Amino acid sequence: MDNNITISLCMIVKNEEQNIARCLESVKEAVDEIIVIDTGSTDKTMKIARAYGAQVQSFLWNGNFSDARNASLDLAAGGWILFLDADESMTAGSGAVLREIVKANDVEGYFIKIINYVGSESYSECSPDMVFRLFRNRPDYRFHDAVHEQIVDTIQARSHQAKFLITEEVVILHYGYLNQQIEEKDKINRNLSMLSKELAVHPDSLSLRYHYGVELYRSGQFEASVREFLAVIQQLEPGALYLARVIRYIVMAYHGAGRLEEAMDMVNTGIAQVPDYADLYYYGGLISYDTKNYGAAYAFFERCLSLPEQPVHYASHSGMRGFRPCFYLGQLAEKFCNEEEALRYYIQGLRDNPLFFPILANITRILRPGEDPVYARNALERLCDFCSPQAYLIMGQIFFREGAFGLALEYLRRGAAGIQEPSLNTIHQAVCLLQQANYPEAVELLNLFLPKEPLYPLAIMNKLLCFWLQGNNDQVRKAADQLFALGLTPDTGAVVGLLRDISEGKEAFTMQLEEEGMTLLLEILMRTLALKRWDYGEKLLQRLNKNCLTEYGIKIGEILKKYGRLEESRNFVRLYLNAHPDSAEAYGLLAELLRDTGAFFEAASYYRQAIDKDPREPQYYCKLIALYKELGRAVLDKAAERFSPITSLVLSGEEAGKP
Amino acid sequence: MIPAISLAMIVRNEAKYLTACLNSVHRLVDEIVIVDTGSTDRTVEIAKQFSDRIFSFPWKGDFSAARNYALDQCNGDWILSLDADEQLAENSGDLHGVIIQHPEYEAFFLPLHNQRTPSAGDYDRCAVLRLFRNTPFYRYSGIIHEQVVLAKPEAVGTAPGPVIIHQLVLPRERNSKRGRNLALLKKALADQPENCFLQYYLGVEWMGLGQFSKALPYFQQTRRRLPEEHLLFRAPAVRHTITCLSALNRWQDACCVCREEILRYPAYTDLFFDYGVVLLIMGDYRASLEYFQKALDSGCPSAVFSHTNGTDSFLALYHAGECHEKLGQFQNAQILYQQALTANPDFVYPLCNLFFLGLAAEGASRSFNRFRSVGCLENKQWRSILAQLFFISGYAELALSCLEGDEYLPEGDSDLSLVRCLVYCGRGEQALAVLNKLKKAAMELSAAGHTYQFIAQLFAGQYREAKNTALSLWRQAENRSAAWALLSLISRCSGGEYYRGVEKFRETEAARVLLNVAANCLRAGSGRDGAMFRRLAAEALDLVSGMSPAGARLTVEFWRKQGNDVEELMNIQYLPARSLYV
Repeated sequence: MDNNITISLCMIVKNEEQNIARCLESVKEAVDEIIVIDTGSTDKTMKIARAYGAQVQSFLWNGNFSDARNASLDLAAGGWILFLDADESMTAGSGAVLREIVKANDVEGYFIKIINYVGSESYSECSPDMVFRLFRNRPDYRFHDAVHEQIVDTIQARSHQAKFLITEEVVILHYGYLNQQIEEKDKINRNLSMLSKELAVHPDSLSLRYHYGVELYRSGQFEASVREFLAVIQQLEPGALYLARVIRYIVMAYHGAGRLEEAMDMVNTGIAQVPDYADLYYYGGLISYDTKNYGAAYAFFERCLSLPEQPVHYASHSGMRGFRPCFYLGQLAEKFCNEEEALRYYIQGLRDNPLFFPILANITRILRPGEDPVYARNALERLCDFCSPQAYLIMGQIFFREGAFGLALEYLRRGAAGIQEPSLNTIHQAVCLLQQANYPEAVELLNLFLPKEPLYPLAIMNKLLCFWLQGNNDQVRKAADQLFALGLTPDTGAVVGLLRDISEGKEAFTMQLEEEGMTLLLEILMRTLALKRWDYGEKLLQRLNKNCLTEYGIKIGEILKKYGRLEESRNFVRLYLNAHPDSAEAYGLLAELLRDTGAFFEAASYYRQAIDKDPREPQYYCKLIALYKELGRAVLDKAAERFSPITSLVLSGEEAGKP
Repeated sequence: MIPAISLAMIVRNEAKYLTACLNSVHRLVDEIVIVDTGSTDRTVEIAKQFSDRIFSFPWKGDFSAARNYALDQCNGDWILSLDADEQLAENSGDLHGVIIQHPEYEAFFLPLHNQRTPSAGDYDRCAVLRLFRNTPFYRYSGIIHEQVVLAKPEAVGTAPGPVIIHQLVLPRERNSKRGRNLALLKKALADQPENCFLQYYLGVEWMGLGQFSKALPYFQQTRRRLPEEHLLFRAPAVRHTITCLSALNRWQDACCVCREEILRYPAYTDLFFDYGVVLLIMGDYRASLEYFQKALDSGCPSAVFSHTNGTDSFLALYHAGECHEKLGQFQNAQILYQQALTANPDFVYPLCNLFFLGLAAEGASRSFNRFRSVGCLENKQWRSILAQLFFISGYAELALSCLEGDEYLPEGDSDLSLVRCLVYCGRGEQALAVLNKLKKAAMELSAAGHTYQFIAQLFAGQYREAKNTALSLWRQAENRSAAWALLSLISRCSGGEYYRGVEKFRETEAARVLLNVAANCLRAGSGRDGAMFRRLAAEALDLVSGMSPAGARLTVEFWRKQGNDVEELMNIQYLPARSLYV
């Protein structure tokens, strides 16, 4: 069967033994594989799923829905992805339609009709809606956002021409809002209907209205929730015990509804009434941060840290005076290029909550484990206590992303100790080995994957790279053939072909790659550079046409800069800048390249251009200041040479003495 | 019958102001009586051009005596009293008309505008009793800040005009009289220790000298002793109290006074405004906004209230804009600044705020486009300010665009900003053409003008001419240091060894010239001739830092200043997070 019209069903589950069978039964004929990511079930969910032939993987829950969803995408081998939740099922006729619509060549995804059942078991009420659940399986189509995970915009960003259609013939039935479900969201709905009935009887009860507002908020009905809370607060006595909470809910509901200005006004009104309430400052900081109002954000978050223990009736959320503001303050400090201060905040945050993964990731990034693994490792191990396999896995992933392959390998190995089945972790270990030029061991690991396994193509791709870097033409050709036999998208196929042609020394001709191919190619470029094989990197770039090089000039430039190819980097960024004269990023990158090559004055003028193009981004200002400081220091150094060291000491002493 | 009006003045050494004063008033009065108390300049000569009723009266340290002597000489039915440094504003009212319309009054308050700065519209308004019936009963009393004594306050009317304009007096000139005033006031107060008016004036003198802690008790006294309906003195005393408390950083006390007096005068615009300013400085921007809004809503207070022009319009709009700026509400701030500018185009502070706000919030290019689209470049003063600001912020091209289309008007050598922009945008030929035009108009080029010409010639490859420019500077003794700087620079740029052994005393001035060239070159930076400008900047900086340890110090200072400028720009939007970048 043509790989392009195969369908992978992807699911994220936890304790769904009541529902999952209904779901899988309804869809098993319509899909070619079933991938189930389990985020920690303690019931029979996994067993039931396996009975339906599902490939089940456990995923360490990190609080991020998108990560879990993306993990399922990583495993999917079909040409299309269908996403369902366990409390959903498909109507009888949907399967056949599904098989038809995936044949359309020019469509990237479909909005599918969903019927949400609300109310009683009799299904008397239902509310139809459209959801984006069917889309092409491409490596760069990934979910983002921790809670309200999204993918449509990613796809649109990746391919601007992407066409989406709406189909009303594929229908998902959603039982999740039903009363019979013993789940949080149904509790909310039950509560909501109960409360609304009660309110009809006692319309003046403030506490009823308050709880109704809370349930509305929890069900995501932010606008409605705002209305209720505003009604409550108008009648509330100034000293009322739950005044603080009502104010915070209004802020949160406005924030949820995207009405940021009103949310901010409420923060200020609230602070005037409850001036020591940490949550208000936190939200004030959050909103300011999101609107790039960094000065105000800093003041709000700092204020959080300085507040006293919160009275119980504030119902302050956890970490509001600790790791949460610390995380944002650290990020702010990073925006101002102040890594020292950022680390200080992150460490302070980690003390409050040692398991807050985003802080750990940021600290690691600042320590640049790719450049100085020993130092980074020592520093990190002093900071935290990694003892569980999960912690090792998380750190392994972080190191892997930072390009610290030696460290990543060690942590991934420890994290995967005792696990026999080859998994994504195995691939990552192989990549780590590959990146340390330990090709035989890498290949050994990659050979563990069998053709039917979903990670097989990825394994072969990496094998191909191993051989390619060793100049083993025969094996490269063999691997390429294997990949082609699996059925590749044209773009990926082009990259594989390109690698094979380079390896065989075929005549160079330039080609145009799309997003998908470029993503892959840039990844390979980065790996060759990490291995200090610029000769290979150069060959890759020579095969791209001018248009490709221009559009990706800045990305190529970043990679080249990271691995010290400053002059080449500069050329690519200039190429990009000519086509995008308003890119602050390009000006900023050029400025850094110029600075690194000692062209300080020119760098300064580029920083000023970057500031002009994106004046709300603090980093360019900070880098310009740093540059001026460096120039001042250079004058001092030269003065020491020209006159006497003492003169310079006197000068710099005056420097230090000034406030 | 039309009443005859006599102008009564006492003068001493007022040659500088007298002509303008008499020109503004001589057609509006029927007789001019001038009493000279001992001028040694051309005062009497000027006075004689306008009137033959010039008298002399020996100075006895008593203003009232002199003034009453002047009154004795007047033949008109009414008296208009003016000082030499005052004028009547053109077309601001008709003296005869005022008198005829209100036969019931014996005297009138006229509005007086006290100019605060040279810019139009920046003045305080108060009411002064200067027009009164000529009867022997109305005579001045008090040796200083003499007043006409009227038995019946209800017989005094308030006329909307003509407006008396009090010229801006240079601080030095004013302070020279303060010593004399203080002595006279102290003497008068010794005789009448309970006189609120003398106390008020004593406060004014101390405040004028910057002695706020000395001034404050006098204003407090006036404020406490005068009944609240005695607005003429009480209202300014209240405002001066607030000013003094603010100057002494006693913000809370200033707030108390504001709140207390607002209860007393609930429609007094200037109090809302003053309170708004205090709150702004205290950082309570929201409350501050509220009071500026009240000031805007209240409009101009009636004539008996001391009033600063603009507190009900452009000043309130400007400060409200500042509040929004501090609150990070940049869009609102921009709107208010724009309104303030429209309300009074001569009050240009909002333009500077608009500029830096634009720079911080939207970037130089977008900000320039906005200025152009809202018509800011059509006002000559505004575009010249904007050009300056864009230039010093490092956007020479945009500065030039502000001035584009301006014909260079040889009004004087002071404004060479068009030349500067042309030079540092790499358009040396054009710059030289403008300079030649200037020279043809027989203008003398300043040292700065010479420097621009020098740089322009350098860039046009005219080394010989550039050298001549520097040499012609050398011939002017006071510009030798600048000449040395330029000669060293050209020698450096043509690969030669630079002029060694500059005299120690020239170092600072030479360094200043070179660092200025370097700063301007760095601003030019990115253009077509970027590389040449950078080279020139590098040579100039190296010259200075190699000159001597002091030169190196100045260069270090130069770079620090560059950094500080960036920090200042950051402060606009990031001030609360300052500890992250400083």
